[in-house]
Amino acid sequence: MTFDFLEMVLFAILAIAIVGAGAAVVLVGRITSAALFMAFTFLCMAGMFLLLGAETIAAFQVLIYVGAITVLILYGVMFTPQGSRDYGLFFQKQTPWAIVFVAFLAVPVMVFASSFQDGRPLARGGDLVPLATSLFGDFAYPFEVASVLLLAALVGAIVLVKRDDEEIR
Amino acid sequence: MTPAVPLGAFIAVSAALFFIGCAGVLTRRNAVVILMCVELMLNAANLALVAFSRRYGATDERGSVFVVFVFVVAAAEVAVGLAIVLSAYRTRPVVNVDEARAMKG
Amino acid sequence: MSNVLAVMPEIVVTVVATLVLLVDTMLPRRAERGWLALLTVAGLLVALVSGPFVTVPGTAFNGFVQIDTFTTFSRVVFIVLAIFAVLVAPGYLARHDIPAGEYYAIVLFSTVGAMTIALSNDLITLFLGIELMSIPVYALAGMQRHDRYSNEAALKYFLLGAFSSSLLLYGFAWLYGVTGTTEFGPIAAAVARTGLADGPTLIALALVTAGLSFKAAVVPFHQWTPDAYDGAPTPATAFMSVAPKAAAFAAILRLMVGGLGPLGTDWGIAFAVLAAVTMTLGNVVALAQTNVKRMLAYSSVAHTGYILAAVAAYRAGDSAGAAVLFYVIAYGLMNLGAFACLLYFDIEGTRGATLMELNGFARQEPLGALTFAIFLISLTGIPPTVGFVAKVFVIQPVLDAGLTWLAVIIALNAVLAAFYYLRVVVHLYMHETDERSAPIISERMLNVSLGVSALAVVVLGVLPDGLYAWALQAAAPLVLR
Repeated sequence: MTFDFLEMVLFAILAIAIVGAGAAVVLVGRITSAALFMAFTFLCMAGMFLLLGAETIAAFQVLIYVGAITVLILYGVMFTPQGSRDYGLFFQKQTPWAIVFVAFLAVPVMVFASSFQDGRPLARGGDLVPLATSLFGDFAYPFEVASVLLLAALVGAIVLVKRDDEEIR
Repeated sequence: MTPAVPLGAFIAVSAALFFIGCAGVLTRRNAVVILMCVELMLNAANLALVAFSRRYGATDERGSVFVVFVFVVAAAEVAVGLAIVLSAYRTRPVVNVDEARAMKG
Repeated sequence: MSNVLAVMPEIVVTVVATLVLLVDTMLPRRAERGWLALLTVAGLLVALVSGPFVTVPGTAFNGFVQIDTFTTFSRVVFIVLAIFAVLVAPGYLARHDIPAGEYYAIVLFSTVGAMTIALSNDLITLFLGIELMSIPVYALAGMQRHDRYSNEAALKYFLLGAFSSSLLLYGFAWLYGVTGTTEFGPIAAAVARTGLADGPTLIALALVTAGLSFKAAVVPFHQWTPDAYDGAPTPATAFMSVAPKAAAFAAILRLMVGGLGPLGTDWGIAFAVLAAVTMTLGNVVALAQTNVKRMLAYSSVAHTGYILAAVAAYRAGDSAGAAVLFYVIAYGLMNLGAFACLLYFDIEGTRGATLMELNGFARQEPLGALTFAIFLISLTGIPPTVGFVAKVFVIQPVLDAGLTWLAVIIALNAVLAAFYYLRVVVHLYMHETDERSAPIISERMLNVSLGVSALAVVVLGVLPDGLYAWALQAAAPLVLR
């Protein structure tokens, strides 16, 4: 019983942190701060995965999102100077309208979201073995596709940023 | 035994984060920030997938498998995206997506 | 082992991509790289042949990969499009200092992604296929690194592409939540039970539709199209205007018709409206363009509308699916050809020729002008070209499905499109060369590949029956019985 209560409290804290930090990413002006808030959101998300009993996913979340992706994005922030011009990409000129539109969609979705009921839950904990079994069994083809995707991204990224011969000399 | 936190609560948090990211993509002007907002949206999807997978009468770990692949996709997307932003910056030292409005019509 | 054989064409294309990269690094820095294109095409031909000879129809990887007539047909479409896209590129790449080896490899990676979409049997494989198809193309759009239009094209394409992927993924997540599975068959069974009565299914359907509409450039999700097509290097535009679109429609057929078919009465009408809006808006805006590349970009939006009309008429049965497949291959040949014809004009940067710059092209390069005119006439939908036949095949199921109003809109749009396509032909043939005409480049590989695809456009226009029969076969496994 007390354990249940603890779980509730943990969930509430994590939920508030995720929504708050997520909103901060959108609202704060400084891009470095936005990146750090993003990292914090990712970290809290790992906590959520733990609450759901998916320890392996939580570990991956910390390694890949909090580690790799945040660092990459911070590098991106550092290598690009920030301007503050007021232009819009497509509909971005109508910021208020975009907000109204998103809010309009968000309300029913939130209502429907909370309507999901628990089914027959999987056993808590120990999700590594079933995960690995499906990953290398049923999903062997997508797994290989994922490796090709990383190779393609690697080639694409290198082509776009490598310097010309003249610049090296 | 029913879990303490209902499944709906997890999905609601995921939906909230998804729409926060969505609003960010629609309103922010900096390419790197838009990229961050897209990452938030992907993470929201991850939360929904794991929650469904572990709690929604699923018989296997399919949602978690999906999440692992989303990690890969997110990493690839960020790598290519930042390369595009950097190369745009090199040609013209402004990353505001919008700055390059040379093409109209 | 049978698993490996089932996906042999995909494996071959991947191996060729890495091989091209390796050979490219071993070549001296300034060496002629034109024949790398031939190596790539040879590899693609091997993949093309390996399909029917090695793979056996059926499922593989415990049913997570399905090789049916649709897969086989789509593989051929994607490989043929990749072959033409590679063949028209070498001259442009060399002139604009774009790394050729990486260019071909990226085209090949994207092709593997498209082929993966066609063989997917569940949401996970489908999602990875879509990403592998689109992420390399973002890089392709930005490969002319010192051109700001190219950068801008890549940036917009990437940001909206990533955004649409996350919409799609969230839709997939909810679909998994609603149905408790990721495979198309069980999804279809589950949504057939529940219908659209409950909200979450509706949300999932809306998110998936929006995400796929972005990928296929359906109005109102088309805004990235003109800038991305206009700014990308011209051979890349030729590729990205056809292959990702063909792949997006493969995804729509697999998921919407195959997986969400039971909800078809609901999304069918939405698609019909989207189709009407898409073709009309694309054509109206294209009318106002003077830059041919931008005009073709808008016109490709209009063609999305025609294809979507056939999807909306899915109730008509196999003929609707066959119409989609036939139109996709027709559109692929003629649109890739039309964009590639802009490679004849030597213009700085990535910009395409304006109407004035086309003046007198027929006098200087009669054969080139003839192929260009054939592609344009086919895009308009005038017999005896494949464009005409494809439109007829689309209108038939649309009428069968009881969407008469949509058929009328298609016919009106074809008339509207004639104005701007034929205006280009007028500039090619009726105007004398003057000081505004752009200098002309003539290359053997470009001439030959455009000639072959123009010939295909005419031959398929005269004798469409064989291809159509094959498309009918390919559409058969999609529809639920």
